[in-house]
Amino acid sequence: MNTATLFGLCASALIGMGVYGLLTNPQPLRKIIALNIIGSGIFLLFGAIAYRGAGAGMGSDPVPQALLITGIVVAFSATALAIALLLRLYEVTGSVSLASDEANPPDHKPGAPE
Amino acid sequence: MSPTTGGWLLYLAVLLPFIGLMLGLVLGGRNAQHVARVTMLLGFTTVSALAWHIIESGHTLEYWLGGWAPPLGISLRADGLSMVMLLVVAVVIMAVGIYAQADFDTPQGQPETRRPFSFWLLMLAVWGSLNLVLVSGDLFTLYVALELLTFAGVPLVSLDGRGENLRAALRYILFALLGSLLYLLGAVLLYGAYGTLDIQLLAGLVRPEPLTWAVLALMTVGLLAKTALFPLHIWLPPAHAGAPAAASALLSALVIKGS
Amino acid sequence: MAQHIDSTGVGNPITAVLLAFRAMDTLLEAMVLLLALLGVWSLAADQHWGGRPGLAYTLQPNSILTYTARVLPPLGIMAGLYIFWVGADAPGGKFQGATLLASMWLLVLIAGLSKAPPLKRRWLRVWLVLGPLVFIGVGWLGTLLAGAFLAYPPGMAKPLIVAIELALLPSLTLILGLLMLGIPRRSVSP
Repeated sequence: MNTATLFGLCASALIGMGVYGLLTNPQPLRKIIALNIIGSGIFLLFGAIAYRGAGAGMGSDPVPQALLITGIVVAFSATALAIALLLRLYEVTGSVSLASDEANPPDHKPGAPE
Repeated sequence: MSPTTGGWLLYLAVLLPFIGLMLGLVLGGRNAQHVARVTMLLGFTTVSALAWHIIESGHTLEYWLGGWAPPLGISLRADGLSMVMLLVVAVVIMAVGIYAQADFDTPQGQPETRRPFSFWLLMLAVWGSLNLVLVSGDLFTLYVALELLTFAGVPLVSLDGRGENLRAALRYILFALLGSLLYLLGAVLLYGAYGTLDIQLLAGLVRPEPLTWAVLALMTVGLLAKTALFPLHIWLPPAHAGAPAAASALLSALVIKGS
Repeated sequence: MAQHIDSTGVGNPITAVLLAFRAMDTLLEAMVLLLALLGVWSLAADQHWGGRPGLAYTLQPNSILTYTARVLPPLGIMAGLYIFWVGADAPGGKFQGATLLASMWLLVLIAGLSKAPPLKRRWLRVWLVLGPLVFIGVGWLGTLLAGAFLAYPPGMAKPLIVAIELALLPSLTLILGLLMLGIPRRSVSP
């Protein structure tokens, strides 16, 4: 087994763990973390492909590494937006449940924090 | 394929809404609305010129960004189908823009408020992202475009800020992120196997082998989640019903079609 | 590809991909960040629109946090600028540099040594869009001088790439910092 294959297997393991976590955890924060784990797996796969595709005269293929940086930025922005939504949901409703309203006490608006 | 005349209209159609967004952000307040209106006119003109070019020449419009040919660079392409879609999007944006004048107006002399300001900028963002989805000739650029569309759509869902809107927006973003990650995984696998992300080059390279089927499955499921097709539809009804009327029009008429 | 990298005059192939061959992706990446920030802002309560983001931190003069926030930033800023500068020829670049600079800014804010700016400030918004607008401007310069959007005239590639990165650095630093600070939750106080 060479290095690229090892990276590839780790990447699949991470993606699998992420998907499992996403499907089994009801709490939104854990779902966000699970999505990030899937993301990390995909980014590791980028790394493995960059390592494997090293062209003549270069350490490794730069294209996947450049895409990787863009991918990380997008994942970071997505996480920031999702967390902000989650925080706001907690501020407004006092719960972080994704279940629809019938299962929850009616919205109460705590005093806006100063 | 090689770059065609009039190809510059392609990147202009993508960039104009984003330039409008940035100018609106800086000028703020009532000006955001004015900038959106001017951008709508300019963008509509650009898309019409683009359509005229395609109809007149009768073939696909193509542009190589930076002058770099694929697979090294990124190409933008628009064929007849994309042209029709671009036109439809522009018309819907104009209609929503006119309708929203009443709902999201910032009266003269009033300070900037959250709802109108966010709406106008997000509407421009939806437009720019959709145009990019339609003209992108590169799988990774398409991924970025799909994410842009998500980031423009989610705040539109939660624009009214009530608990149910926020819950719907959160559910939407979780689905959309899973969808785009699956899509990205497919794109990476394709790059690993064939060494290019250019859609047209890939079309000539792909072979019917297990990897291609896996990629096809990943991308299809990913985009199904974003488009809210059965059985991945459960996020949609609360998200669209809870959004303000004009935002709901943008979401159901355009954002969903983007994927 | 190696011969094309030479034509950009940039020693780091990843930077060449990010700012020459796939420059559009990098421009769109800045749009992604900006849009996410707008999305976070749009979650504010109406009365807090345009106010300061994040929590109000009080300065505790004798805490270890305050001490760190006074000592670390000069070093962190140096390291950030260095990482930014070597990005043209070695691993590093604007995004990595901006991350370090933003973390130093956040450290100062969390220690209570400084206040986050109100989001309705005009200068703040100008800095946010400066980088992407310069990027688009240089792209248009390419249409005039080199015949394609985001193309660089021969021999001018490296200075233009550095100019774009230099303009993106403050924008990215601010956007990253503000994304971490989150929703505006304090009305503007004088």
